[in-house]
Amino acid sequence: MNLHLRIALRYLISSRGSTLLITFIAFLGVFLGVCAILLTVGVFTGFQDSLRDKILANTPHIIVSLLGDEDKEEVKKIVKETEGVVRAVPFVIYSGVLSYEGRIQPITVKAVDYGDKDFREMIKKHLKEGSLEGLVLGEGIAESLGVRVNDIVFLVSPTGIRTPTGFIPKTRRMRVGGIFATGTYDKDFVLVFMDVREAKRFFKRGFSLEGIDVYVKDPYRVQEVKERLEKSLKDDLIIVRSWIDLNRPLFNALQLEKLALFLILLLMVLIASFNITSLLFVKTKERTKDIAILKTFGMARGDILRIFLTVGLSIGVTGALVGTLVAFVAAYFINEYRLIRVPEEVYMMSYIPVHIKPKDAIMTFAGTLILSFIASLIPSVRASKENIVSVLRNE
Amino acid sequence: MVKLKEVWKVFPDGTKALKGVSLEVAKGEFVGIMGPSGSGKSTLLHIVGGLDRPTSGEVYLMGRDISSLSEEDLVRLRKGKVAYIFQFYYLLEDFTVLENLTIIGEILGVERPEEKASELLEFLRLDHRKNHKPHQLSGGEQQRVAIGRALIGDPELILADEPTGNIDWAEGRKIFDLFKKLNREKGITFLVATHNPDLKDYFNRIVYLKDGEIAGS
Repeated sequence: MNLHLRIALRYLISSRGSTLLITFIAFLGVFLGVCAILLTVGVFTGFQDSLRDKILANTPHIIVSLLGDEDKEEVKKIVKETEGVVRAVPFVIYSGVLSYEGRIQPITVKAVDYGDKDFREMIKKHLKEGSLEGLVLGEGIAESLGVRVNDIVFLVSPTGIRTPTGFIPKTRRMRVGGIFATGTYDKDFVLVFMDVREAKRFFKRGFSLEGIDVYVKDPYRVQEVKERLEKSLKDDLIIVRSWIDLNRPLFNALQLEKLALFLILLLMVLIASFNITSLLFVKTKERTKDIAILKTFGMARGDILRIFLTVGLSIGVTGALVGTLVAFVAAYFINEYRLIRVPEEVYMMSYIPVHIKPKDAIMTFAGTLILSFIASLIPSVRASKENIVSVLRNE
Repeated sequence: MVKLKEVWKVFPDGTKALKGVSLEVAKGEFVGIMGPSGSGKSTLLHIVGGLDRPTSGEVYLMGRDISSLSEEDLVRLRKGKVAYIFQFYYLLEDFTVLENLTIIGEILGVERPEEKASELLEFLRLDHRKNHKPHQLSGGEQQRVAIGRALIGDPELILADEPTGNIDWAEGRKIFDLFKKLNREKGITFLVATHNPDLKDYFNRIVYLKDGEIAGS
């Protein structure tokens, strides 16, 4: 083993003087700081990941909005042929109101081709009860109206019919064919699926928005598919938006919070690293004789500096390593026993998992090392500048 | 081996430790520096060994003027060629006797330092103590460890500052016997500061210092 490292380690674990306890306190500070950073950032990452998975499971990865009079079938063909696209479901969006036994609920009608294989595959995952025979209501709407499968509801179009006495809303009796649940508010409390042919007959050319829901092979590389789609569609009246674009403000806010928290908790490590500084001042003070004798026999100033830097860094490295290890073990138990439980109706999940990403662990580790290095520098430089003669004269 | 010309040392508080000291020590000599406490013996040794710089005057060590050398050059010059023995031993308390010698051997670039350290401890009759820490040893034993540490780099000059000042009379004589043996057999030059007049028979030559000046030799 290297001479500096050997001397440094001996100084580190030496029980001479009062420094063993201070060494342990310095280690504890770094260990707790690292552990706290990793677990807190891990909770944030876990929440972010779960939210993203929830969003990805329940929303299309790309929405192609057709603002002009494009041939939808032609656009669908181009979309389906684009590399990375797995499914494409054309839709028309209408606004309406649903009424049942005196209760009313504003809704968004998403008109799709019930015969479309891609749509059937997608809805199959969320259909809670019933089938595609009639309207398919979000669970929240069904609960608000007190509607069950096979009940008859009134669908009201706000565009209405022009009569000599003015506009009167257009209504139609419709059977509830099925109820779906995605676990997200903006779907379950707002959306109603309806077969596109029937919707067109009812709404005529009322205010509508046409588009295509696109599902891709790898949702995390959605931007590449989006770029390919934009390239092949090449139309100003066709807007392509990915799930990342649609949720950017949410994820940006979460990311910012995570960063702020990381920096705040890093202050904890900074405070802990002050313990290293004071420890090294004590250690160097206790070993001025050693420093003098090592220098007398030819050890260079740089080597003395390296010895005490190694002492400080050893505490930083050990604290960071043990802190990381304990954080990973704690994360395992938190996930295994689902220890962080949250109300599902608020957070769209019943518990928050802890995901410690290697990047976060590396950043924390590197940050701790840098802080430990800075904390060790001043006492180590002072030790290396120790004047041999003044030490010998003072004895 | 050592040459001092009109060396003055004035400390920042105004204390004049050496006042124009001139001295020559030839290779293989066993020179004693005697004088009362505060006469400048230690300061003289520090300056000869390049641990401290004179305020004025010239200091030659092994033919080289060291008064104007940089710290790095001084370290390089004294590394291995000059060794020190102190009154309070200054052993590394966290390390064993063997390690105390081995570490210095490694700093000095000695080949197989552990082997050499073991040989020296055997020569100093301390091999049974090699795994002990310094605080477990008597004063005489600690000083013998310090001698072993000084010898590990095969020095040409040993500067000893009150080497028997902290041990009893009988142990002190054993230490001086050892010095004399090393001087005779290995040709090591010794410059030993002491205020113990009982030891003056050991020296080839004695330089008397008083208030920072040479009072006779």
